Amino acid sequence: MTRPFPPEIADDLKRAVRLEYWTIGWMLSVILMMGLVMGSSQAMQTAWIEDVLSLIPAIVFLIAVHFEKKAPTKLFPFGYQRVHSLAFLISAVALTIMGTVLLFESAMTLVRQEHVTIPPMRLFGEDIWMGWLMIGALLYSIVPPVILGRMKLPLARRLQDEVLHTDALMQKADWMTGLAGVGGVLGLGLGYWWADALAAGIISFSILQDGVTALRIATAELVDGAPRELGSTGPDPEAELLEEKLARQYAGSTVRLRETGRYIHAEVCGVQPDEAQDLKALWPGDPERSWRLAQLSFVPPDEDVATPAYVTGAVRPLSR
Amino acid sequence: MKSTLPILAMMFALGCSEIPKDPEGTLERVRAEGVFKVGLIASEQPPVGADRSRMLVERVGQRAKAEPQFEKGASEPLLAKLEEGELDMVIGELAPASPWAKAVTLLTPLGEQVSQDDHVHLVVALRNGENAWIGLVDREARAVAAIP
Repeated sequence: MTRPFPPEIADDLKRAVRLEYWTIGWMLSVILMMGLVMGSSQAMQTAWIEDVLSLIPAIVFLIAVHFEKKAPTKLFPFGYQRVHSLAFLISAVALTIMGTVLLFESAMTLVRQEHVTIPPMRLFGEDIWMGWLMIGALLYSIVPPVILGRMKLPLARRLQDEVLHTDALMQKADWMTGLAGVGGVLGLGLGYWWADALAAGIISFSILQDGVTALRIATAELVDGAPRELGSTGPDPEAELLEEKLARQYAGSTVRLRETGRYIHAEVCGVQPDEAQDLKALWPGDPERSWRLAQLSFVPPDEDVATPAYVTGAVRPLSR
Repeated sequence: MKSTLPILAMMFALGCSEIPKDPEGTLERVRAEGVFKVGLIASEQPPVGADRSRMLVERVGQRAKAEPQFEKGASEPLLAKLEEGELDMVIGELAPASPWAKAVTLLTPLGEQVSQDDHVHLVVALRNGENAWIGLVDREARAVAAIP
C-alpha cells in the first residue's frame, strides 16, 4: 500500500531521487579513486572519510522517501513521515562523532610532531611522487559534489526537505575540503610537515560543523518544535503566517503547529471544530506550497476536566 | 576526465622536480656535505643478502654524490638514532611485524629469509617524512631488490 505524494511536489521528488542515485554513483567513483592513492597523508585520509560520510545523507534521503510513501498501518497510524527526522538524527550523530575523532587525531599529530611519509610510486615506468596523484584525486573529488550540490539546493527548497538541503549544502562546500587537502599535500611536498595535519584539522572541523548543524535541526523536529526555516534553527515565516491566520479565525483558541518531515500539522485547542475544512484555502502563503499543511485538528473545550495547562497556557512567542 | 589525471599528474611531476622536499633537509644536507650515515644492524649469522646491502649503499652514494659512513650496532639504538636524524639510513634484519614499522619508513625488503619459526626481512629503514631522500633511496632499493 502506498499513498501518493502531493501532486505539486511529485515531479521534484522524482528528480531529487534521481539526483541522489547519481550522487551515490559519482561519490563511489571519487571514493574509489581517493582510496587508491590515499597512502598515509592524514589530510587525504580525512578528506576520504568525508567523502564516504557524504554518502549518508543521500542514502538517508532515499530511505526516508521510500518510507514516506508507505500508507499508515494499524501499528503506525500516523504513517512514516517522521522516519525522515529519525534518519536525519542518526546521520547527524555519525557526522558529529566522526568530526570529533578526526579533529582529535589531527591535533595529536601536530602535538607529537609526526612526520608523514609519502613515497614515490611506479607508474607507466616512471617514478612519480605519490603526492601528485593525491592532488589529482583531490581535484577530481571536488567536481561532482559541487555540481550536484548546486542542482539539489533549489529542489530542497521546493520540497522543504531538510535532509536534501543539508546534503546540498555539505556538497556545495566540498570544494573547500578538496582545496584544504591539496594545500596539505602540497605543503608537505614543500617540506612543511605540519601542513598535512593542519589541513586534516580544517577538514574535520568542517565535518564537525556539519554534524552539529544537522543535530540541532533534527532535534527541533523530533521534539515537536515549531516548524523551522529550511537549514536554520529559526522559525519558518510561512508557518508563522499560518499560525496568525488560524488564531484570527478561531478567536479564543490556542494554535500550535508542529512539523513532521516536510509537512505541517496544526492544532487548534479550545474551540469546536468547523464542519468542513479546506486546507488548501487556509494556507496563507504561496498556493504552490499549500501541500505543506497536511492536517488540521481541533481539541474541543472540556467542561468537566480542566484543560491541562500545557494546552491552554499561552504559547510564548519565539525569541529571535 | 579520469584517464587524463595520471597524465596531468605526470606533467606536474616533470615540471616540479623540486617537490617533494625534506622537512628536515636530509637530501640537501647529504648533497652539501657529501656524506650519508648508514647504520648496519649487527646479527649473529651473516645477514641475509649482505652483498645486496653493499650494492644499495653504493648505488645511493652514486646518485647522491656522497660517501657512506658506517656505524654498527644493535637495532634498537640504531633505529632510535635514525628517528632523531643522527643516521640517514639503517639496513639490517627486522621482523615484518616490528613495532618500528610505524616510527620509521621501511622500504621494499632487499631480501627475505623464511625459516620454520622465523620470518626475517633484510630491510632499509629511513627517517619518516623525508620524502625526497626516501624517493631517492627507494628507487635504488627497488632496483636492487629486483635483481634475482
